[in-house]
Amino acid sequence: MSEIQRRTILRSLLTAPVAAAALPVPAVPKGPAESKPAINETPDTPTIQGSGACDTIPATFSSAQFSALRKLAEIVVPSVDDAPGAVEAGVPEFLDFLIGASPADRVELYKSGLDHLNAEAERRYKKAFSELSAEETGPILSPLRDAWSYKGPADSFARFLQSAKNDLLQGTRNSEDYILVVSQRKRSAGGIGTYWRCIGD
Amino acid sequence: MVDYDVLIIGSGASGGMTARELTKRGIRCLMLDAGPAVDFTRDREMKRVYELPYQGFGEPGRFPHVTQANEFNGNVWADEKQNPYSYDPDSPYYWVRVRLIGGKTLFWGRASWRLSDFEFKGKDHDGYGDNWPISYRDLAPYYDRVEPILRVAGRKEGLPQLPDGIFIEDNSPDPESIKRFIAAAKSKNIPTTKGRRATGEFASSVNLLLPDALATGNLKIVSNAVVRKITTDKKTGLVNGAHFIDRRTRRDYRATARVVVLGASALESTRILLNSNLANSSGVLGHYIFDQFYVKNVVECVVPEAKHGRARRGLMGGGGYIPRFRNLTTKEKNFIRGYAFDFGSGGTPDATCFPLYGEALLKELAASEGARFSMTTMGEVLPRYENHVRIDKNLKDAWGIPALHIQHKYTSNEFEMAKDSMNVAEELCHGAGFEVLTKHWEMVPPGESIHELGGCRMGSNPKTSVLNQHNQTHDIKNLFVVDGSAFVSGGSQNPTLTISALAMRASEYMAEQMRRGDI
Repeated sequence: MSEIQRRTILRSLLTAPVAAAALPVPAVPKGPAESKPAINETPDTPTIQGSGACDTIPATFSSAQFSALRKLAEIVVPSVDDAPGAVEAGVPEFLDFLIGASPADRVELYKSGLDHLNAEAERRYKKAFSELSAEETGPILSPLRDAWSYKGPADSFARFLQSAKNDLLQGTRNSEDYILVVSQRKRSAGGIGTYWRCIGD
Repeated sequence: MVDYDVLIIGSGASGGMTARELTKRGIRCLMLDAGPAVDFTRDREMKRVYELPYQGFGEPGRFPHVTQANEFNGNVWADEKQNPYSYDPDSPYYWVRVRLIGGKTLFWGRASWRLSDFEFKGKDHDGYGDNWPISYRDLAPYYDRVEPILRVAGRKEGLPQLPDGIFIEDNSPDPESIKRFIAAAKSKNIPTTKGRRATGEFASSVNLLLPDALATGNLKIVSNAVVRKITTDKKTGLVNGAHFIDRRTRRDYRATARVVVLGASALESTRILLNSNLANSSGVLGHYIFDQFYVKNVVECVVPEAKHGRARRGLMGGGGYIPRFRNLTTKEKNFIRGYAFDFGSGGTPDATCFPLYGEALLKELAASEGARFSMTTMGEVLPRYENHVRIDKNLKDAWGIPALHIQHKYTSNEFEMAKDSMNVAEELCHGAGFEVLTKHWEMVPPGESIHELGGCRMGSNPKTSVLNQHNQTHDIKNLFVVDGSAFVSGGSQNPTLTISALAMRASEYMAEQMRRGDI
């Protein structure tokens, strides 16, 4: 008898009611335990991201820089039509993490750019950038109204503003809060993609 | 140890086609690929962008040269730290690689254009460079056979610079915005056509080429096999196999075969030959590398009638292609050869197009949703001796194999072409009544188009070329190179269809030579 034939016969014996009844199978106690998954099954354990439940700890920017970033986020990507803006979506906190993990030139671009926001606010209004009104920020943010160019501006502060504009917008649109609100307005769910795991390791 | 008839290095368009053609003739093949096999069920899952560790921004600094990489697909690209290369700081090269069974065919854009004698016999036309040792007529029967395998859809146009093929006929109607653009082009005597693309859920070596080869029982595929060098028989001078290293364990292996075929991509095959110190009696191995330059989004527009929520299906969507139209029957003052355009209707312009911020920006983006029209230029890069790769003696990959130094620059011919393309694109979009938001003629760095070509160019003269017209090295008769490195020139057409047709043609020749006992 081949191995496959032997297994086939064994399987049919185990599944046939009469044959099964003849086997000395111990009785399984009935009750609430029946609704639990078998002990050798892996149950589905739902998890969430840390940022979905906890505050993050700023690690890259100083307190003054972070305040300027929050103000910039509030102005560049505000909340419109009930959709969260960058601040509501937690983008300043996310950028503190992302920029901190970035190459040194990008860290420097952000830090010097945020310092420049505060320095300009101090020079013009004797206040921190975070304390300015929207109108007062206008002249400082004027490079954001410059015409587009492929290579971007040569001036490092203007480059920072363009970079921050893009990052704040993308960070907002990729956030869970924003996607949940926008998905409810449209028929299609946004922010879903095909993710490739590590292959072959 | 088993001796195989043919050792094939690489499993993409050229390696896969070679395996398919040889195995069906009863030739026993061993294929080596540096990467693992992909399981589309096991290796992929749907995720929300905010579930990714970097919320869709990608791990900073992971892929400085792969602009196509994002946080969803980051794991499919060759790791740049494990696979380093060098270039002069003032002339960066973006070498984009996939190290998986099937290679870049797993992810290619599927554009499938034939070359014409404007490319094969380019020197006859304008006096520059060298002709290929073959003409369109030599390759046409192979294009005829490759297109049905790839299931290419397209529309016949009768254009001499873009020969028609065996297509799944695409007679789909064009939306209004595309019709207007085509009319604007026609008024300037600029031809347009539908895209010509491989169809199907997948259009890869993995599902279109390798299954046929495996079904013959004549193909064995070794995954994770990083080739160090081709080995030779010291008595005969012929090649007899390859030395390779297991990607994960670093264990060394030797494969032996009667014939060796390189199909590892243009620059990788060239690197293997340079590291093997083979096939370079001409001194041109590694030289005459080129690609196709891209001006991505040479113009970004909005279709005014589609703004403010009016981007309906009959107005927006779809796209097409403008084949080369310069220097065919007339002569441009500032450049030779020509360029093509891809154009597409739909989507929303990028926020960078608008010099705005705050509520004004968000409102403008909302108003422009679905109203975008954009064009991308793809231009011919002239093959030049000075554009080359060589072994960087100070740089090795993760397996201790010497890496490449790549030297590739664009020069005035490409710059002038790019500038011309911007002006033409703007004129056509204005003619179609579109609002041009941005325009530029900045080319992406060499390599970024992922159309790396040359390095082992073919030719009739063994003193000025590496391969003969059958992709066989002039120096060693049982050594072939069947990928894009064989190209003498590339035109502006995406090269995969031509690579596949050349590999099929070379395989037939190889099989016949083996049958005769000549190799």
